[in-house]
Amino acid sequence: MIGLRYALSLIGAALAAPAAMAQPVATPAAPPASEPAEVAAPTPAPAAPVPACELHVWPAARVSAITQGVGAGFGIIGALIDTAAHADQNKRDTAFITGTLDAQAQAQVLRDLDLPAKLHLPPSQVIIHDQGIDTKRDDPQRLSNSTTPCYTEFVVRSLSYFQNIAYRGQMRTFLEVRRFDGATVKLDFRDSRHEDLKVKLPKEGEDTGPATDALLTAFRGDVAFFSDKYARKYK
Amino acid sequence: MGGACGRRNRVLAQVCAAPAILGLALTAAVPATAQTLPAQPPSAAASPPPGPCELHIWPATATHTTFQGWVHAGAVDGAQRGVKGYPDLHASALDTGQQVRLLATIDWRTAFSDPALVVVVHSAPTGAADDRARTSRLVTEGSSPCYREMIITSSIVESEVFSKQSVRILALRKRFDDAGSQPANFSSMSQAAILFSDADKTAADSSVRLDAAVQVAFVTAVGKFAVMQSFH
Repeated sequence: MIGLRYALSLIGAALAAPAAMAQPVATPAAPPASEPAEVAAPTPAPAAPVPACELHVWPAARVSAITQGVGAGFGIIGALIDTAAHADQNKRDTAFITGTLDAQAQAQVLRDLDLPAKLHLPPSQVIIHDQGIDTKRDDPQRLSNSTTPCYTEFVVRSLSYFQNIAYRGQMRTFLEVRRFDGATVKLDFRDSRHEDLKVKLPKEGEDTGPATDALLTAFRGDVAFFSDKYARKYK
Repeated sequence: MGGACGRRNRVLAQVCAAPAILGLALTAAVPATAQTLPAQPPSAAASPPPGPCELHIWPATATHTTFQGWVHAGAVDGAQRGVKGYPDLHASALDTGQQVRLLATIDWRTAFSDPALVVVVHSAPTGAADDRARTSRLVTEGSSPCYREMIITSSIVESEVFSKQSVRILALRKRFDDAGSQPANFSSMSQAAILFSDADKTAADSSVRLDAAVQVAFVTAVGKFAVMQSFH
């Protein structure tokens, strides 16, 4: 049953997929002692204007890892046995992805990618939330309390790892962009993209470095591909 | 240290590490602040190092939860976010403050086979963007040439319908052997089952007992990592 649930959740997800700092300051020459000291106050550098637009970003709300063996091909009973046999591995892989691609790591990748430019948005203030959020297709409301007129949402909906006898290991990222006109959504674009991992996810005691790099690279590639696709479609 | 012990010979390393596992113990509660354990006088070793080694330890930012049930599955921090169908896995028992308190209870000198080890448990996460790629020390001022960092990068309480509920940590050890050296990194994960009996479940204070069980599992998982790192 759980195998069926896992399979259904995967299929369902796939279908739904979608300063003034360090400025050189000339030291004024010391005034003559007889004259009153008159030191011009240094003019502060004008602060960069904050963009009027906002791009709100949420990290993944869901993470799943599923490894299937040959048992998965023998009906519900086979799938159930297979799921039970891989339970520890699935638990371990899910936790590893959750820990490696946590909100902080995702935020770092998304900052490096310069999402407003990638998505062809106007200059935007990027606000990265530190906890994931579940979105619904029919929800036209904003996910944040922001009331700024120029407002876009970028949601990492799910991270999903899948491996079976045919596929060595795939990381799929489900993403969503919601653009707003006032308070209601005017565009909702969902898609997913997967990358094949070149390395296996580690077991306890094994070096996690290579798999960490592979997951970060896959996530970066998925987001970049999705963003380019969105920009091409809605330019 | 135990690492040197482990690097010479794998079998010898396991012998060296065995007391480390046994030596992990919960002792009296310690305030959740950065704390330096006083250096003990070194034993009469054959070739004592020039100064005591330092071990700096940092907790994870928070503890996440993963859950795979019969009906609901996949949401990260489901209960914390109020997602329907996700039970409270007591991750709050491992918030940063509790991690610091628990990390300070571990007998690191036994785990690292170094009675002179100076241990500092920091009260907040490192805050660095990429600790694995970093080649410099986080604590530079006055640190010993023999310097180690142990960073809990993630702490997770996990539940799977076909598997035992457990606590898993992802951790990174950086070993600096002398002042100008590049660090030797070891990053891995370890887990320990949350031992929670039927009697605990039915007890009036079952929530408190589950908190304690989660914390014991965290200490055990950290202890396992301490042993693992001694082989690298």
